Amino acid sequence: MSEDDLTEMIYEHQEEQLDLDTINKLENREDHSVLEADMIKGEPLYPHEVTRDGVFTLYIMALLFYLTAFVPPPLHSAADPTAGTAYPPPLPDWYLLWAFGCLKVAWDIKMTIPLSMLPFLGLEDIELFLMSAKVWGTLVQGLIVNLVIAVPFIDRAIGALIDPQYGDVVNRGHERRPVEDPVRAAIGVYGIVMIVMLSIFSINANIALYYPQVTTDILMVLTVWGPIVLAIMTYVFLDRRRSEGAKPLTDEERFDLYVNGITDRRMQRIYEFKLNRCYQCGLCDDICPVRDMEGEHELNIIYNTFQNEHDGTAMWSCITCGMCTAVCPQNIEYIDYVLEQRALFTMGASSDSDTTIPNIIGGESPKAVLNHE
Amino acid sequence: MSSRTKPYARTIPHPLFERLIVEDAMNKDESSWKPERPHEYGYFPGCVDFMDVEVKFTHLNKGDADHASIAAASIKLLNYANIDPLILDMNMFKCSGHDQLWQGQLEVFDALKEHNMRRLKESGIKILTCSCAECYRTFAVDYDLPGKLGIKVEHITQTLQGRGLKFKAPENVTVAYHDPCRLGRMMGEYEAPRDLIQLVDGATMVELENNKERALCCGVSSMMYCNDATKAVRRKRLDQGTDAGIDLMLGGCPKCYMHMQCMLNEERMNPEDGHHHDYEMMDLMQFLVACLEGEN
Repeated sequence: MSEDDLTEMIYEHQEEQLDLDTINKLENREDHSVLEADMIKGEPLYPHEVTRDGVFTLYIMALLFYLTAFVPPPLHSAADPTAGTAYPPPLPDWYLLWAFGCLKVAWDIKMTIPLSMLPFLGLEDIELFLMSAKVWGTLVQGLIVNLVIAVPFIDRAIGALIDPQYGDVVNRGHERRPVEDPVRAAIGVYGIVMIVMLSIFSINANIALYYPQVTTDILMVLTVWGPIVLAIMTYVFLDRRRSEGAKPLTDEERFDLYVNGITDRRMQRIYEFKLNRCYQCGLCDDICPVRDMEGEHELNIIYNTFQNEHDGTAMWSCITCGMCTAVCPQNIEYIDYVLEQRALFTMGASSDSDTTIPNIIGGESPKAVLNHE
Repeated sequence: MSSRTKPYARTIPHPLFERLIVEDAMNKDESSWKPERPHEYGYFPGCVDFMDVEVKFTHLNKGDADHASIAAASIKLLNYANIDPLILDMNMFKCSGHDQLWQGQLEVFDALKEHNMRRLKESGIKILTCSCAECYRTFAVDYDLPGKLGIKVEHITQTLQGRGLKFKAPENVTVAYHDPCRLGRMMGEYEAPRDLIQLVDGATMVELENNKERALCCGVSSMMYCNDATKAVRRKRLDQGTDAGIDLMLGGCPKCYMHMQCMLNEERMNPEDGHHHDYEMMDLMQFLVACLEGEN
């Protein structure tokens, strides 16, 4: 048997083994990839959540009916309608002060057809009906609750408008952090400040007892304009921070990053800051084509990278296709991290070295390069 | 030693060519240059010639993939849309450095960037068009041309979009568009190439199973590896094409075209492996030029 034949045999044996390995890997891999399932869905609001909530509501109502029917409350003596009104008036519990404030802050609104705006007709305004303070002060409370319920539906509608075919996907990946979504953050600030201001306004009579200079008019102005001013301030502040964070590093800053490591908060925002947001949902892992093909167990790519627990293979087998970023609910830019890390790994490996470049692009571990030097 | 020794992980491109780019980058060229007349548009063909040579040297396929025709087709289409571009070819410019950046060779990338930035400043163009998605991303994001030099960077599909062009396919074909990762997920451009395909009379566009944000990658990252794992990624993408029953798969990036076509050729050369995909891969520009009216 010649040497050539022996080489041939060894080569064929190796080929067979490789084929077997590949087949084994492909057969044994976990088949819950997002690529196979169309989309991972949670429990929808309707009918799942609605049914469950409905059952609980009916159960509690049944309990209340039972209690009212069979356990009579201990009644005291009847109220006296001729008694004078207490001053300062009695107040509801603190958590309902905002609703009380809604009733107090509302003023009468005349709903009219403004015909007097067209002077050539010579007509007066036609009054349709009077929206009294009581009526719309009551309606506003219901309106607020309904708006909160409608938020997911509004979100979906916006997602569907942006991209009719993939509305859900667009919506699912929507940013939720205040810095990245200043509009929503401003609306939230408006709501919170409004609730606080309404609560303060509702106790205007009590305030006037101790501080007569704080009149109802001042409180009214604060309640109406305070939330708007604060919301605008929030938007401006967050928007400026966002535009700062989105800027790429300058050449000097990048040089500084490679030489001295992370020294500035702005550098952190590039990837470390973003990796910090990972909550280990594992979508990146499910979608990753490399993991899908290599048939490894779960890598939890982004989380493990943040914990410095990856073994370096991810760094060089990553094909930087950006799929993990596309599905990430937090929009973590993992490939930016890969880019920076590769630059750090090969730093100092100059173009004069004969070994460096073939080694790096030759599928060998970059650690070998570092050891070699 | 047997001549049949085939390494497990074949590296592309040949290390020799990689060294050539590095040498080219490190040779400082200080000469100044001025185009003969001012141009508004500049067209950057990228490393298509380089890839032609690369395909001939790696004996794994027939080497019939003609990448330079992408550049020729792009120029023809730009002229068809009444645009007279300045060709920013390898005589005056160097590689955009995308692959070097993503391989982590920052020094090489910085040298290439410095040279190209100087040349772009001298050229006096207002808008830079690339037919390669990787060059497009590199110029727009990593060079930051809009911010540094005030040059708008466009992918050629964005330049050709909305110019009232008309195309007619020589015969009825079913095509699918393969989103390159640099153009789609990184730059967010999904619609311009699809709009261009819709303009072609006689071409029916179908969507592959994974498209847009979830498009599968062609599998090769910045020319680093071509091994079993990356080939499996590519085969999965090609299988989706067979499932959709297409005649042509169109890509927006010469690299996608190169790797997919290489795979298809390899399958045809080894029919005993049992993998076969009954369609062709084409770059979008090559397809559109083939559909120009009056040409066929």
